Parts: sequence; structure tokens; C-alpha cells
Amino acid sequence: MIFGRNASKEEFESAALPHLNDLYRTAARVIGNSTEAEDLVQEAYLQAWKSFHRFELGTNCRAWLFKILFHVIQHHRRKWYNSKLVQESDDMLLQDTIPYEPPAPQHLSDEDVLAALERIPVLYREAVVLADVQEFSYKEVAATLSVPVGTVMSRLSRGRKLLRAELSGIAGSYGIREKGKSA
Amino acid sequence: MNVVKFEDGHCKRIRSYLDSFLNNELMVETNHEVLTHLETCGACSRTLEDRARLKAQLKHAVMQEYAPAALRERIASDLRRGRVFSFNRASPALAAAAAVLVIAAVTFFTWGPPKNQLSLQAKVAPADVTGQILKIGFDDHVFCAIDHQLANKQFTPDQMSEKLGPEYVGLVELVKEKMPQDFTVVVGHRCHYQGREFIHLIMRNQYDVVSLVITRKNGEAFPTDGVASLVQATGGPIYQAAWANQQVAGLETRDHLVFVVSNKTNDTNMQIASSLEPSVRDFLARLES
Repeated sequence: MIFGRNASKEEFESAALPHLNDLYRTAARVIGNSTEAEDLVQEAYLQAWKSFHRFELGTNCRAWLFKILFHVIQHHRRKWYNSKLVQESDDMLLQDTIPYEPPAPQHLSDEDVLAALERIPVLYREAVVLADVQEFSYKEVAATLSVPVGTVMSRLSRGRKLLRAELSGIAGSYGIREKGKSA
Repeated sequence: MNVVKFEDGHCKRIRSYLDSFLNNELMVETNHEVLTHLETCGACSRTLEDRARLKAQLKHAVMQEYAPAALRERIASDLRRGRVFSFNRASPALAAAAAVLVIAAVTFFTWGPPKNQLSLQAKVAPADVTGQILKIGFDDHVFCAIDHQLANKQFTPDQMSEKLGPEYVGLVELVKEKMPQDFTVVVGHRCHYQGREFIHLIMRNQYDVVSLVITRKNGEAFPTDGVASLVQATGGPIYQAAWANQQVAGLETRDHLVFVVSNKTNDTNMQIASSLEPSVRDFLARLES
């Protein structure tokens, strides 16, 4: 026997492929490009299959796949695109640069929400998508992104604030005003 | 009646907890504090509703997107082909990655094997002589076809002729004749791994990769007694083993070890090996005479 456990394609397919949509839509939101997202998800599945013999059946396959996906995404960004990531610093995380925190306006379309999400720096966007869309726990998000839980909490706090501010801006451009605010 | 007065600072602090409250991430005490505050603070309750609505709207918007059917098919196809990377619609960046792999492969074949780890490793007990011999062919297949991605290459006939040399180039036509019609010989070359030279032909169709690996014996001989996993072919026994999703069939001639390695099922791999066996034996016998 080669590994601790013989891994079959059928086993892999039944454990991993049900999560394809979640992986793809997360990659698409984080990368902002559906074609690249497809390639990265494909690569993530290949890497997952290569190391599937090490995956312990019965544990959280979804979280395991997301960790691989983000490893692929980070490698891709670092190596090929030299992405202009927001350089995070303690000062930046601590300072509250959004003085007014508007409530999220109603009557916005899905496209508006996605457009607002896309405007958030990727460091914050990926944390928000993992926690608020994919509903991973903060601890799981930290493991997926390979950062401490405290960093995840900081990124989420700021990412959500930025998202609300973006949505408020979009609503303003449509002439939508939240209750209690004058034009 | 008790009247609890909250200062603005308290509301600000509670609001900083609201998202984590929605995500059920607060400690029990903090959670209780938030609940108590919300019972009496209409402004914070409305903020909580806003945030819950935004979270639901965000989730709804993102979840409307689905993976294209083509992506699912690409992944399934990769799995069927046995972990060989495909660049069906590769981005320029991934194409560049492919170029790097090709350069790495060229470097390897120019300067010899790097000390790398196989992505698939066969663990065989030292006492398992048959397994140890079959592992020789398995390792070379994994090293070339999988780790160095040569199964994604397409050598020209001239390239194969040059790399195999006049002694072994005849194997290409021989294999073409005996392999199922949908298979193409994509690589024919000599390679070196762990101090041995191999004659290596890689055949593939849309889904599967098959290697024919030949090396000169270095004192090895399959044990003749009590081996369960063998098939009696026309010219002698064919031995078999499986590691991960790869099947290995092996046979020996006077001076050579011959392996057929693929990601097919055990039966299919053995059928391919049985089909190749008589012609390959004849071919090698002519070289050995």
C-alpha cells in the first residue's frame, strides 16, 4: 500500500465535487475575473486530488478545499500578477477612517452589492466572503487564509465597514437616501 | 421600575459587536450584554436589522453565481486522465507556468535528475522483490509523465527518433500498432532517474496516460515462486501492482525490464501490457541477440 489510505477517484469526486460551486463563486469574487477563477479552481482541485491521500475522511472537506484554493490564489497573485494588495499595518487596522457608518440602503440589486464588494481591497473582501457568504467561523477563516484570528477580525471589521460605505455611495448615486438622513 | 441609561459610547461599543453577534462568534458574556442592550435600544436594534439584511443580500448576490458546466467537465477530465495538468483555457500566467515546467524538464534531461520528491511514492517492503522491481517502472512514469508533465507534450517523429536513437526508435511504430486506436504516442525519449537510464514512451488519449518504460537489468529478476499477482502471457509471466490510482504491469527479458504504467483499471492496464508483450519481447530479443 502506498499511503496511509488508498485514495480513489470516486471517493475524491463524491467528497470534493459538491463544493465546486462554492469554490468557484468565492474565487470569482476574490479574483474579480471569472476566467482566472476557473483556472485557479481547476488547479486547486488538482492539488487537492494530489494530496487527497492525506485527507482524513470524515473531517471538514469543504474547509480543506478552501484552504487549498486560497493557497493557489495567493501563489497566483504573488508570482504572476504582483497584485497591488493593500499593505496591512497595525496602524491601519486600528484607525477608524470611516467617520460615519451609514446603514446599508435597501432596494439595491444583486449587481449593486457585487459592485460594492468588488471595490473593497482584496484582503478585506476575501475575509468578508469567507465569513459572511460561506459562513466559515473566524477560526476557519484564519486557517484558510493562514493568518491569526485577530487579523481576521480586524479585516472583517474594516471590510464590512467599507462595504456599507460603498453601498451607501451607490445608493446616493441613485438618489436613494437612508431613513433619517437629509439630502 | 429600573431604567437603564446607555451612553453613546456604550452603543458604539455594542455596534462593534453586532456583526460578530450575527455570526455567533461572541463569548457568552458579551453575547448576553448585546442581547440586554438590544432589548432597550431601538437604534442599535435597527442597526442590527440593517446588518442582517445586508449580510443576507450579500450572500444572495454571491450565491447566484454557479460554476460553469465546462469547468466541472475540465476537472472531471483531469481526474480521469490521472492528475495530469491541462491548460485547456489557460490564462497567460498559467501558460507561463507551463513554460517554466517545460524549461525545468529540459533542464532535467540536459543535466540529469534533480533531487526532488515524487508526488506519488510507492512504499514497498524490502522483502517484496516483485514490488521493488515494479516500483522501478512506476517511479520513472511518475517522475516523467506526472511530475514533469511530459504527458502534455507532443514530440514530433524526428524528435522521438533523435531522443530514442536508432536502437529503440522502432518501438514507436510497434506501440502505435498495438495500442488502442484512440491513443497517440506523444513522447518517446531516453530519461534518467535514480541512476538508471530508461527508454520511455508515453501514450495518451483524451482521458488516460499510459507509459511503456524499459530499462536494462541491473541484477534484478522477478521471483519465480509463489507470486500471486501475475498473469501468464505468451512469452512469460506479467507481474502487476497498484499504487494510488496507478497500475503497473511488469515483465522481464534476458537483459531488460519492461513496464506498462497507467491510470486505467487493473484489467485494462493488463490488457494493454498483454497486447504489447509479444512484440516488445521480440523487439528486445533482437537487440539482445
